[in-house]
Amino acid sequence: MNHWLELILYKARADLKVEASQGYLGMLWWVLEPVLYMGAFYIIFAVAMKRGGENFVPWLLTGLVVWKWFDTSVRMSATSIRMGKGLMAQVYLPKAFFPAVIILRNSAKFLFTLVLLLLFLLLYGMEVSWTWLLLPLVMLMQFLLLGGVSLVAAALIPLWPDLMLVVNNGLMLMFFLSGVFFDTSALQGWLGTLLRLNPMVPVIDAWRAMLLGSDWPDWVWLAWPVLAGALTTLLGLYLLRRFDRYYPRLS
Amino acid sequence: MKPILALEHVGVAYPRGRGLRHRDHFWALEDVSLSLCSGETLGVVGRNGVGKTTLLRVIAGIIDPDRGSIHNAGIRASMLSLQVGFVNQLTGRENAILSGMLLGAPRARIEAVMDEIVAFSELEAFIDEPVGSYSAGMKARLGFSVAMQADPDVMLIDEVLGVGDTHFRKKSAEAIRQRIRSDRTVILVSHNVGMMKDLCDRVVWIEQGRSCMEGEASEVLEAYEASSLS
Repeated sequence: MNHWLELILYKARADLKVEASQGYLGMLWWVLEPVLYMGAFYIIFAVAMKRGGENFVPWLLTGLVVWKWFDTSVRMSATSIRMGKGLMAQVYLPKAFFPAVIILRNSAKFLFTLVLLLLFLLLYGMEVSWTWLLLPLVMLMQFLLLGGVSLVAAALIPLWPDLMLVVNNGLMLMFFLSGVFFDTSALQGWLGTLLRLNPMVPVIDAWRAMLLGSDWPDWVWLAWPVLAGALTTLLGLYLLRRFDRYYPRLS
Repeated sequence: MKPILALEHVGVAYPRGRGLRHRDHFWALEDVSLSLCSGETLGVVGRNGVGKTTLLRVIAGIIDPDRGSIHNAGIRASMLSLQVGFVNQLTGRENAILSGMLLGAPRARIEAVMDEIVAFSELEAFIDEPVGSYSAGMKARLGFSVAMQADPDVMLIDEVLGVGDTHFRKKSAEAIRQRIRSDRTVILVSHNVGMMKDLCDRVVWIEQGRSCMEGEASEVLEAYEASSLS
């Protein structure tokens, strides 16, 4: 196996182990954290704002879990090269190492949360559907998208640290416009079109269709996040290579 | 003999200050040329702040120079860095693998020499404990033992000769001396003229970011000493 790939896998596993060993509750946090996160939104939307309808809770939780995977990966990747400053001053590393470790680590945690979500859905009374078999495919599409956006963020933030504010607010805007709280298909006209430019919208819709509606996702619409993912991945890798030996000079 | 690595008129500038305005540069290295042949030990001598560390970073491929050129015959040079990437919550064994891989050694090779690492660092009873529970000396011993196994084509040594307590300091200094005296290719940066006379075949003298003399160790070191006295 390629040396760097082996190193990335080893480091991601080691980081997960470290994370699990921290705090009194350790690995239990992997369960508690998503539960608390989802609980907060449940209280706001289902209890306080009395939003709802049939299956509102599973519908909301699915959106949240899927979004959080994307959001955390991009945010953490954005600062990853700066955090690795000490390391890259001592040894040469291809800089994609830093975001790659973060992406793998978050993806492993996502899989864990996904299992929890599936358990919850079963307890809630959802029925296992044939469409669940294709979940890995949608997962792969989202992985491509979040990987690409994370690589671009990782490459650009060290060059212009001010962009971090743009990333933070951009992610927040994307979150509110991603249809985690409302059904994007209800919006018509230019606003609906604008909303669908957010590549996470088709992804979240696909997850919901397969998990909750026993529907096949809209494959044509999913081409957009796949295309965006492929383009950002190429751009991110190009930038990280271009500035490979420049990042260690930045203070 | 054909050099395996050659630097020609290499310069490195660091940006000074941040922001859109006041973007001027300061040249940490102005104009350095040197060549390195397989199997030799090249010393780099110079006062503090003349850019020796920057020079090693360029040779290790960590940063690119802004001017000049590097000719590399396909060798991998890396700094003898201790405790690279150590994580307190991981065990000594896990840190050895992680650190060794960061230094460029394949995982299989580190696992193959793990017994030697453990024996040299004298950590038999602690190797599966988290390094957070180690004393500073124990960490230094593990870091050194791993770095010695990394074995790059060219080893770059920046003043680290001997770490840990008195006993281990002697042992590690001896191990490094042995490594330098063997037919390995080494670049050694130091202030210690006596030690360099003893260990180096050739020496480059760097003054204010420029290489002002390169040649036989004794010749260059004498000239360097004469200039520091005046």
